[in-house]
Amino acid sequence: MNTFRRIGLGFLVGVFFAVGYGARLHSMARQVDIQSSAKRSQSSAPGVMVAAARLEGAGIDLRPLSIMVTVLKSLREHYVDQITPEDEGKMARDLLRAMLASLDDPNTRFLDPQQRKLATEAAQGKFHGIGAVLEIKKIKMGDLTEEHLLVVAPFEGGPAAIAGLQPGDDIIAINGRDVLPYNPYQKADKMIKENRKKPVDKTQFRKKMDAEAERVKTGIPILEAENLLTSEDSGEKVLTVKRKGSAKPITLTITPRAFTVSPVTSSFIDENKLGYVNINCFTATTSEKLRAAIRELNSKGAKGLVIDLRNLVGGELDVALEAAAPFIPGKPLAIELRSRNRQSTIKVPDCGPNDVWRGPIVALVNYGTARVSEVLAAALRDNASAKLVGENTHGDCSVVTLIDQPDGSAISMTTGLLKPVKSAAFHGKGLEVDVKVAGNGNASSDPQFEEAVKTLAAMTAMRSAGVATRARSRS
Amino acid sequence: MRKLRIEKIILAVFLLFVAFLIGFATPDVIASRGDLGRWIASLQLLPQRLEDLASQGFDESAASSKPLPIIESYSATLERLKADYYGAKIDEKKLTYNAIRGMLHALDDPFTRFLDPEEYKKMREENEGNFTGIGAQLDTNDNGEVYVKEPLPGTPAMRAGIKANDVIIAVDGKPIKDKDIQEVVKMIRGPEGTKVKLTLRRPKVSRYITKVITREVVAFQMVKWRMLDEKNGIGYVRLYQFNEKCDEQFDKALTDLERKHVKGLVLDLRANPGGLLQAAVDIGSRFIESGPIVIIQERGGERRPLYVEEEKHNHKRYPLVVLVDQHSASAAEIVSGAIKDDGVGTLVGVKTFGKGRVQTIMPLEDGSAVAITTAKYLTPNGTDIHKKGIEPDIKVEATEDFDPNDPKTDVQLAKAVDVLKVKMGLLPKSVLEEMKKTAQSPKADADEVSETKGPLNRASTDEVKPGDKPSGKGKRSE
Repeated sequence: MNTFRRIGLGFLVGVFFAVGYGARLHSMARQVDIQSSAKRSQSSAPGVMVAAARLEGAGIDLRPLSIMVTVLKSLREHYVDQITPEDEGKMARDLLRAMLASLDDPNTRFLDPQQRKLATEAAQGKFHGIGAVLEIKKIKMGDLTEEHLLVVAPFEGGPAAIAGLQPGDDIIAINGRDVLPYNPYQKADKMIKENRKKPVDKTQFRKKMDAEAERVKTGIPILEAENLLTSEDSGEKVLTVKRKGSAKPITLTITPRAFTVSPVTSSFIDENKLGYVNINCFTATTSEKLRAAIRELNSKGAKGLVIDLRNLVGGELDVALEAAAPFIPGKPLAIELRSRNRQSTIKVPDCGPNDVWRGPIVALVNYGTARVSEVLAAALRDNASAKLVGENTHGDCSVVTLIDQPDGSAISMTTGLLKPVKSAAFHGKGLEVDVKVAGNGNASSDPQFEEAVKTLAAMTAMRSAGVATRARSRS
Repeated sequence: MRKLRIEKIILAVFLLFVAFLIGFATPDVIASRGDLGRWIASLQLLPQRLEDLASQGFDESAASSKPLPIIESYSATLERLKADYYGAKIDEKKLTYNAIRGMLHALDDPFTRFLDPEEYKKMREENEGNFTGIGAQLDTNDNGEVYVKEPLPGTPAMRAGIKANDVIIAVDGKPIKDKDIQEVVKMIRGPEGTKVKLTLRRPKVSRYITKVITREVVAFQMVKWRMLDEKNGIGYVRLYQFNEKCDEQFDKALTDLERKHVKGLVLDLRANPGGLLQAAVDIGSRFIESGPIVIIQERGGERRPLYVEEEKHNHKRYPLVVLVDQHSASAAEIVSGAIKDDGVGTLVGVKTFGKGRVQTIMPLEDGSAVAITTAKYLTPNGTDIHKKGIEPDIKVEATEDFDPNDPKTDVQLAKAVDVLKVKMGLLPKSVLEEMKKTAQSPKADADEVSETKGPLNRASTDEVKPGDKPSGKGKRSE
């Protein structure tokens, strides 16, 4: 009997040990999870934590909140169908979506979990869909102010870039379906208004209205359109785009796919005397790859450098700062203006002496050089006497913070504005280049690149060696 | 002996606890890889780690996909915007209004909606059936000019000598050229007792006429009536909307028609977007002898019939034809549904809109309001017409050239009169049979009409039980 008890106790001791061991392992794993998710929100936004409710406090008007509470309470108690927790989750998301959209700021918006995941992958150089950064922006055309789906930039080597989609393209239809703004009835309202003022033939008007109704009925809402082009869906897409300088809309056929972009590619131009570095995207390894490239160029005695910042939509500020270190170590990148008159100077970190580039720089930019990239271009010009070649940049110097939500969704919010330390602010205007050269789309020649080499050759006081051999590698 | 046993149990439990603790600490000890400092540090953290375990629990799914709490998400985001958003100043009210709109949008019910203070005020005016203005009905003529279609009887416009066909040139000295009729209406309306100056061009008068008129409370004219056929005693009543004043006006219309010896009646509910539930019961009671007009089905399924109000039975009974179309919605469908189920009248036209939901307006503290769908309604025989509509007894489509202002183009009305004549014995029954046969062929169409969410139909999609806009009529009362 006693032996039996002892064996039982011994067994239990063993079980409890195992349970304790397992519990701690589980707890550790969870800790790592939580830390990494905290880091995720940190990495996308320095100093940002998951938003917490702060209701009490001086000077906060509680009326909007109490209205919201009343409406929700009424719905819960009286709505004809019982409101489920799933309904409430959807209501919260739609609430945030509508609230943020009403700020009319393309960078301030709600990201559902799917979009949030795409943002994380983009920060690792993995892209889906047509492979382009898009933005939804309100544009006034005539007397209609509507949201448009615009291309900020296609990614190097992605389906959109290969098909010839260009920065600034206005996507007006996908597979023949018109892209519809938030309020798709504006055009119809305008037609009715105009007809009231100046009535036309009745049957003709009715026909026009019917056509408009059909257009709206078959159209695709702008948010859905954006999702369709950026998500993992892979069906062939026929895009109708409006492009500056082209009277007629252009049709492009793009087959979306998942692809990975190498953050940096580099090569030598002109018998190793000039170097070429192309930054394709900002990821965690961009800076490391860039430094390796600079080290190699330095060791081979390169005399000048072309940095290609075209079609580069800036991501996280920290990554860009690291990337700037070989060129302007310890120098200020920009002044960050924040709400309530706060501001601070953002400094580029220092960099090992072997990784520093000291020679002349030409930066290639275009309309797809957006956000942090254009700020970097301005800083290179101000602090490293770089010359900018290509086209004026996008003109978006917003600092965007991602705030992760407990359900996997996120809020993207403009929290600041970057302003060059030495030169004039260019937000909303775009950075003026020193040598203006139009791009050549997808054609085999690259006049901007050739002009950059010419400019650089002049800067390095080298004899222009005729036509530069183009050794730029495309990934 | 007994004491010893308890001690043994305590000892055993303690042993198990120690075993658990050792097990719990082991991973950290392993992780410290022999480093004594880390080993001790990890042991010191033990109590806190146990606490972590207790608070985290083992439920992993809960952490990753919890639905967002509505109020907390809203207030946290709003506070965050106020603290850190860089851009235009945060307009808390505008953001909140849009947040509410977004939240309601998630329910996928176009009738549950938010009304900002201006929209709510307009709705209240329409429900009450009053507004403060001068009482001139405006319209747009073929040249795109806004003109007076009719000064309403007993209103400031009538007393000031404004006449039909006066074209409005300016309001308070501001030319209204290029202004939309709704903008003109807005300019003419204003607080009670204030004055408005109208500059008018009158046909065959060379100089502009100027009138200064004091604004008053004026009732919307929701009912229009006339004798279509004096000889046969065929009367016509059109109801534009269901509000607090419409039953009173309706009573007056029937009294007047009876004075003119009406023997049969066409009730026109076309393009009537509905309105107040009570008004529907009032109007329905004018025609139906007894029983429910409508059955309200609350959340949870409880049914509450609203019965005929017998004090409304102050008129004679005569054959009745009701005209309906794809824009007849809500309260208009309650009345036509009750008449159809009861058999007291014949429905002519096309299938109705199909809105079988009742909204309740909840006023909010800042002057805005929210309309919430709180119940379904069923016709007296228990049919839910939501998203289905009511099929007319005799289907007649409007023709392409139909002009609401020109009775000659109105084939639906002409057919309604024929049906009425059959019911009155003025035409043989065979006419009816013939009509039913021909109407069967071009059907399919009506199905589509009520489903279309195109811009033309949008006006009625938006309409909600208590208080609807008389849009789509192309006409506004001023």
